[in-house]
Amino acid sequence: MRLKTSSGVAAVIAAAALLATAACVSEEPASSSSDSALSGTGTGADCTIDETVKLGAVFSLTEAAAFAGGYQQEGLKMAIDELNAAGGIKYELILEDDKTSVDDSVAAFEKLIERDKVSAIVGPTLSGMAFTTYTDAQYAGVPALGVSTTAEGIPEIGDYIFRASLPEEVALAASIPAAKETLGLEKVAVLYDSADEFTASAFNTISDVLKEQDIEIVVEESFETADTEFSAQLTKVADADVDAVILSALPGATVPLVKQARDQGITAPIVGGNAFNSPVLVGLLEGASEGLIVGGAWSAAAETTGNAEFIANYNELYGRAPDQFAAQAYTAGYLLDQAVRADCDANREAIKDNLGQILEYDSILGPISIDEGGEVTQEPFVQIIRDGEFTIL
Amino acid sequence: MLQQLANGVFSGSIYALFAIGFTLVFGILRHLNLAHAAIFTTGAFLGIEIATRTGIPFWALLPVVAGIGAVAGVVLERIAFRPLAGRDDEHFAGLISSVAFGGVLIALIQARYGTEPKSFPYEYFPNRLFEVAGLRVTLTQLVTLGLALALMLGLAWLVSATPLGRAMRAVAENPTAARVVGVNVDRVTAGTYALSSGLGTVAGALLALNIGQTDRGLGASIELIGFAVIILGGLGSLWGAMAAGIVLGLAEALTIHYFDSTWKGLVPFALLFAVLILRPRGLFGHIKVREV
Repeated sequence: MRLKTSSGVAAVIAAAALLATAACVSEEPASSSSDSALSGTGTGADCTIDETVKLGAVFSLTEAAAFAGGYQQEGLKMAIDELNAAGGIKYELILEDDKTSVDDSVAAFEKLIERDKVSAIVGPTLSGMAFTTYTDAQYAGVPALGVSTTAEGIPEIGDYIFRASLPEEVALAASIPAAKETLGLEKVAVLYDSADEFTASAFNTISDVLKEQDIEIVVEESFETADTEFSAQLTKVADADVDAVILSALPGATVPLVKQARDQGITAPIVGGNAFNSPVLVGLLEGASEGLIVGGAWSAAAETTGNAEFIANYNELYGRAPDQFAAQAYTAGYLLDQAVRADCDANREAIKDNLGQILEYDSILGPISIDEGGEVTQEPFVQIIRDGEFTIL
Repeated sequence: MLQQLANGVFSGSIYALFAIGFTLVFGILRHLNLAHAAIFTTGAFLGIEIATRTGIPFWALLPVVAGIGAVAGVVLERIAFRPLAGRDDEHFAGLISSVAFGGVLIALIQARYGTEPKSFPYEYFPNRLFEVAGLRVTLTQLVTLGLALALMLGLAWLVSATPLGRAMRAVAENPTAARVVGVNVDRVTAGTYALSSGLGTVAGALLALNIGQTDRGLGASIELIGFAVIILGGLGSLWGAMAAGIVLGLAEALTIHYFDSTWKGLVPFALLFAVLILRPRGLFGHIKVREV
């Protein structure tokens, strides 16, 4: 009897699921035709568009990647507010949280594309989600601009896919030669997260760069993203007496790793990539952050156009210092504005055409270009933490 | 090699400390309390907040954290387990309601502390490094190991030699009979949860001090290995949990030393299966006998 009841319930659930699927299938496809109200008059700074331009953003505001999503949201909002204050074009930012989950990011993209009919989408936070959602954006013909999606192969998804996020490889490839010059490295230890695709692929780049630079890897150890205790790996590092430790890790593991290394008496300088580039990290590490060498897409110490104002305004608005995620998302707002203003047209097609033409745009990240293939070009910043402050090396 | 053995013992002592709180509740009450990992995480955040706000020394911090943990344990028992007592599906329903309680705790942690990791104030605990016969040991590791051993021995003494312990063993043997002979079963149940959660919060604070920070995933990161410890040691066995914690800690450290850290997840669990095949009741478990 019991079995019968539960199979009855199962049948009802199955029927409901079928109905729900049918409802999804019967949804009308998005119209790809352009909306003339979204094209305005004038060009560049004089461009005026009457209709409000809707921009979507999908960030991981909760769960594992919230450390980045929170800053991205703040940076992008700040840029949109500034652009709205400047006048000519009124932007409406529609923000979605993907809860650091692929399913939720797909649903968020779907909503922004189908229901909100946005002109372009910024995000998602993680590359893992970008591989799925960008296929949808490409299919629907909606330009998507990544601000922290650094994995290999993302711009290649299609001609509507762009990124303004410096790959981890480029950041590390710049910091290693700079560290060699300053510290005279000969033998190093490499520690990397083997469970994460970006840090694992960055490890390959690190090995290549070290080989090019004639630096010997004497210890090579991996760990997994969720690990918190590294004494076994660090013992091998401590025994080897290296000139420096090269670290490719996500922010979650970075703090315990550096702290435990210092606790174990490893005094060698530690060289890292994007994950080091955060005032939060310096705050968490306090004294242990001294002497860390950091390669990244942005520096609080860089004298790039508007950087000082960006930092001051951000501090005033949010009561905390911005990090690289905030800076890149902020820049994305301006890049999209550039793309809209180029032809004074906020239709998806026009934004796509113009995003791929951005050449040496003077941003807080320094001169930044995006090519037709959607890939970003910019100079990375190599910094060292001295007295708790990021200083350009 | 010797250094790796020491590393294994240190991380194993934390696993053991996590596991004894969990196995205590199972051994006495046959409850699988899946909120234990969340209680553990709460201990880490509480320890950091209290240390940051008041600056009280470490030796005074742990009793405070344990006290709050004990209260949380009583609340947990009162709202997630006691309402289900006597139901046919008491154990299964308790499992689910404890998952829910854990979820609520983690959500509260996120509301209070946000999503970013937190750490103890710099140099809150002196980071002294000792080198003895080529062995590098930090003061934090020594204190953790010492405290873990002391807490485990204290717990074993409490269970075997005090009136509360006697009552606990009576409840473990047969709750109905215990009630008949005048044991206040509700009080013993609440006391068991208080003890288990107090230990859990202290273990959380100790781990946070050891690794340098905590985030909401701290408990989840140790939960799986904690379960392995409990099964390896024999469900419900305190001594088993202590021994198995150290064994798994050593297995992890030696795997990294001899193979590669990518094998770290595999070897301890392979060991678990090997023990289960050869000795299904675990290292210290007994068949059909409840042990605490």
